[in-house]
Amino acid sequence: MTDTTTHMTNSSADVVNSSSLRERIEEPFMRGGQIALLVLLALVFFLPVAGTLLTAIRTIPDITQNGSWALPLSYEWSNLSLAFMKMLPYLKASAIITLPSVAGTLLVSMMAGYALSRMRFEGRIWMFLVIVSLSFVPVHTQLIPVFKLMSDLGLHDTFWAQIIVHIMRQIPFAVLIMTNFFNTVPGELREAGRIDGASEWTIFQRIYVPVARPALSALIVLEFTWIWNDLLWGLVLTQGAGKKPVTVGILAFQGEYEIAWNMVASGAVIAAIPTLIVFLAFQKHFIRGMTMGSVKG
Amino acid sequence: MNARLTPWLFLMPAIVIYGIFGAYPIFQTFAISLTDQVGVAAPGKFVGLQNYAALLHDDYFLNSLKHTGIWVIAFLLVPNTLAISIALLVKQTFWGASLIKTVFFLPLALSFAIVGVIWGWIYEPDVGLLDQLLIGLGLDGLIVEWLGPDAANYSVIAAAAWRQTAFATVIFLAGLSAIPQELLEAAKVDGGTRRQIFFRITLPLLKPASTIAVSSALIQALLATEIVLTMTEGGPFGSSEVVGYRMYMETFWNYKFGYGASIGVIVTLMTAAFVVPYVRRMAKAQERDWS
Amino acid sequence: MAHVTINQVIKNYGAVQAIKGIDVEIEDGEFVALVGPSGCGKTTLLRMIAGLEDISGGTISIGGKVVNGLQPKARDIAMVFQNYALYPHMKVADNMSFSMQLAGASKNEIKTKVEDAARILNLEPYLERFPRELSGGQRQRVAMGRAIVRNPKVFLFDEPLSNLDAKLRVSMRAEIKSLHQRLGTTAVYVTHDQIEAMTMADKIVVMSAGRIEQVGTPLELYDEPANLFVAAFIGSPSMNLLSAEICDGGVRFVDGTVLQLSGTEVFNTDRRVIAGIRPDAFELAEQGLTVQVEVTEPTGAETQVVGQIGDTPVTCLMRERISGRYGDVLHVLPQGPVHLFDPDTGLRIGTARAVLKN
Repeated sequence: MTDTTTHMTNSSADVVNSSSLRERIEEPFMRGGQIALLVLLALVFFLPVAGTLLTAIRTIPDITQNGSWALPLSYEWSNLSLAFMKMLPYLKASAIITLPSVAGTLLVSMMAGYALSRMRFEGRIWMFLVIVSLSFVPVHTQLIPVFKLMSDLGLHDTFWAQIIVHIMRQIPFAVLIMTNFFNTVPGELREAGRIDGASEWTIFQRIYVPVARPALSALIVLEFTWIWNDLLWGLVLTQGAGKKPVTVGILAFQGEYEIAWNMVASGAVIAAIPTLIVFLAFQKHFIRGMTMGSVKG
Repeated sequence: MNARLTPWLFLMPAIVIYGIFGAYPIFQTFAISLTDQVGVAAPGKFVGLQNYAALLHDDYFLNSLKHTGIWVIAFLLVPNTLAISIALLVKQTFWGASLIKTVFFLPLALSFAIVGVIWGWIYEPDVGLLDQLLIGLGLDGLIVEWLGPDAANYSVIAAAAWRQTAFATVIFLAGLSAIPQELLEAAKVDGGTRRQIFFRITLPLLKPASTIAVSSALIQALLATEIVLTMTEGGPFGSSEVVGYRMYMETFWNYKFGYGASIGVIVTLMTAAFVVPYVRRMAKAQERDWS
Repeated sequence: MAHVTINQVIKNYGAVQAIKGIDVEIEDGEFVALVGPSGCGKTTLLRMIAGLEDISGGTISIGGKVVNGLQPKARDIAMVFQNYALYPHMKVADNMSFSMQLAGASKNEIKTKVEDAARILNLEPYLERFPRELSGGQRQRVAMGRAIVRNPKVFLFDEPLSNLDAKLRVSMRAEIKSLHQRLGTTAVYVTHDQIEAMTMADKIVVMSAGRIEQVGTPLELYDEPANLFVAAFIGSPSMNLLSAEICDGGVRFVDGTVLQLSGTEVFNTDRRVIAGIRPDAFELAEQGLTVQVEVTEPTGAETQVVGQIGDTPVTCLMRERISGRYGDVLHVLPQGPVHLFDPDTGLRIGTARAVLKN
C-alpha cells in the first residue's frame, strides 16, 4: 500500500514538470490547430445545407454547364415561389395537424407528469417505468393496428387520425419530461397551496402550470419539430392530397420534378423553413428539451 | 376529490389515449402476426408461428436484417466519435462558438424526408454535390456510384449519420458542461496531462451522456425506415433495404398484414433487448430516489 | 385563537412507526417549540397538525374540535415553510393574498389585509416584486405575511430560519417572537436548533425517536433535565457527562477525585451514577478534576477549554483568560449544580451542589 502510494506520487511529480513545459510550447499551436479543425468540420457539416440553398436558386442549364458548386449566374427566385405555391396545401395540412397535436400532448402530459411527480400513490413507480418503457416503443409495433383501427372508426384520411396518433406517440416522452421537470419544483409549493385552500386542480392550474413555463417552451419546440417532421404516419393514414403533411408533399414534389434538381431543392427549402425558423428562433429551448429528456439515466 | 382517486384522474387522459391508440395496438400487432391476414378488411385465420418460420427462409428479410446489422455498427461508432470530438473542440473554443454550434445542431431541425431528398441530390452521379466536390478537389478517383448496389446502404447510413451526429453533439456538449470545472482543475493540479485528464476524468464523467447517445444511436439504427423510404426505397435491388422498411413494404405495399406484423414484432423485440436493461437500471435508481 | 390538543397520536409509515403515541397540550396563545435531532418526528407531527400527513392513530384537536379528517384549508391554520414555498410566478401581494383570492374575498378586503400585513412586516415597498427579486430575509417575511393575512387560529412554523445566515437568523428570531407577542396567536414552531427553541418558546417539547423526552419551559429544561438526552440536547456547549459513583459526602470520579457535594446523602454509597456538569459551572481550582487540555478558544468574554477528564471529552467555559496549549493540565471544580443520572435508565435521579470551601 505504502509502496504504491509513494511510487504514484513520484511519477505524477515527473509528469507535472515535463507536461507543463511541453504544454507551454505546444499551447498556441494546439489552439490554432483546434480552431482550424473545428471550422473545417463545421464547413463540411454545413455543405449539404449550403449546396441545397445554392441549387434552389439556380437554373438547370447553369448547373449542368458550370457544375453544382459554381456561384449562380442568375438568381432564379421563381423556383422558390413556384415551390411555395405547390407546397402550400401540404404546409396548411401540416399546420392543421401539428398545432392541435402539440397542444393536446402538452395538456395531457402536464396532467400526468404532475400526478406522477407530486402525488404519492400506489403503483406510481410502476406507472413511471411503464411510461419510460413506452417511450422506446417503435412505430412498427403500432403501425398496422392503428391503421386498421382508424379505418374501422372511419377516421382514415382525416386530420383527426393523425392528430390523435401524434398525441399518442408523444405522450410517453412528454410525460417523462414533465415528470422530471415537476420533480425539480419544490413539493412545498403544493403544500402551501393546500394550506391556502386550493383544490388539487387549482394547485395544478394556478401554481404548477405557470411554474412549468421553461419546461413547456422546451417541450413545445421539440414536439412541434418532431410532429411536423413525421413522415410514416402521414403516409399510412392518408389517401388524398388534402390531408397529407408536407413531409409526404416533398416526396410527391420530388416524384413530379425528378431531375429538375433546382425545383427539388426549392421544395426541400420550402418544406424545411417552418421547423428551421422554429429551431433557429428557439434553439436554446430545443437544446434544453433534448437534455431534459435525458436527465436521470 | 377523493385523495386516492385524484392521481388517477390526472393520469386518465394519458392512459385513455395511449391505452386505446397505443397499448391496444401493441397487443394487436402480436395477435395479427399469428394470422395470415391480407389487407385491412377481413381478419386472417390463425396460423401459429408460420409467419416467423417463413421469415427464416425469406431472403429479402434476411438481406434486410444484414443491412440493419451494418446500420447498428456504423451508427454506434461514427456519429458518436464524431460528436464527442466536435463537442470537445467546441468546448475549448470561444470564438464564434454559438454560430458553430448552430451549424452542428442544424440537421436536427430537418425531417428525414428532407434529409433524404437533400442527400439524394448530393449522391446524384456527375452533377450531384458530392461528385462535383470531389472533381473540384481533384479527387475524381474516389468517385463511385454512391447509390448503386454496392454503396447504397452505406450512403444512406452516412446521410442519417449526419443527422445523428447533430443529436449526439447536443448530448455530449451538455454532458461536458455538466462536468464541474473544478474537477478538471483539480486533475491538472494533481499533475494530469491532457490525455490523462480526458481518459481518466472527462470520459468516465461523460457516462450518462454516452448512455443516451449510444441508446439513441441503437434505436435509430434499428428503426431506420423513413430515410430509406425517401432516398432509395430500399434499392437498387434491395441493396439498401432494412428491417423496418421491409415491414412497411410487406404491409402497405404487398398488403401482407400478418407477415408485416411478424416483422414488426421482431423489430420490437430487438429494441426491447436494448431497452429492458436500461429501464431496469432506471427502476433501481427511481426506487432509491422515490422511497 | 385556539388551544391545540394532541392526544395519543401515532404515525406509521408502512411498518415503521415514526411517532409513537404522543400527548401535548398547547394553550391558547402559547408559543410552543418542537425540538429534537433530525428524524425525531417533530416535522411529521407539525405536518399532521397542518393536515399534510394522515394521522395513523390518536386525535388532534384545534380549538376543541377534532381535525383528524379535515383538509388543511378547513383547519384554520397557516404555515411557514422551511424553504418559504413562495409561488415564484406571483408578486408578493398575490403570494400573500392567494388564499383570500381562492376564498373569493373582495378586492378591497384583500387590499386592506395585505397592506396591514405588509406594514407589520415592513414589506410595503416590495408588494409589486417577484420573490426572486427579494433577499432571503425579505422572502422569509413574505412567507410570514402570507400566514398573517389569513388571521388563522394557529401558526405553524417548519424550521423557518434554517436557510438564513447566522446574523439574520438572530434578528428574525426576535422579530418572530415580538410578532407573536403582538398578535397573540397560538404558534407551533419546529426547529432542530435548541437555542432558537430556548430564546423564542414559552414551552419546549423535546422529542427523540418518535417520543417526547420532556415538556417544559426553557429554564425548566435547562435546570431540571428529565434525562440524559435532554441534558445533552439543551444548552450550548452541551453538558459534560462524567461517570462517577456515590461516596460518603459526595461523588468519586473514575480518576479517583472526590467531590464534596450536598444532596447525595439519600443515595446508597457505591451506586454508579453519571454526573452532569454544565461547562460554565466549572471554575479553576488548586486541585480537583484534572483536565488534559486539547485546545483553548478565547472569545473575548470567556475562554472555552476543550480537553479530557480521564477518557471523557469535556468542555469548560471559563471567565478567566487562559492560554493553554495541547498537553497542558488544568484543575477545575464545579461551582454550579451537579446533575446525577442513573446510567442504566438515563433518568435524572437528583441534583446536588458542590460544598463550597471557605
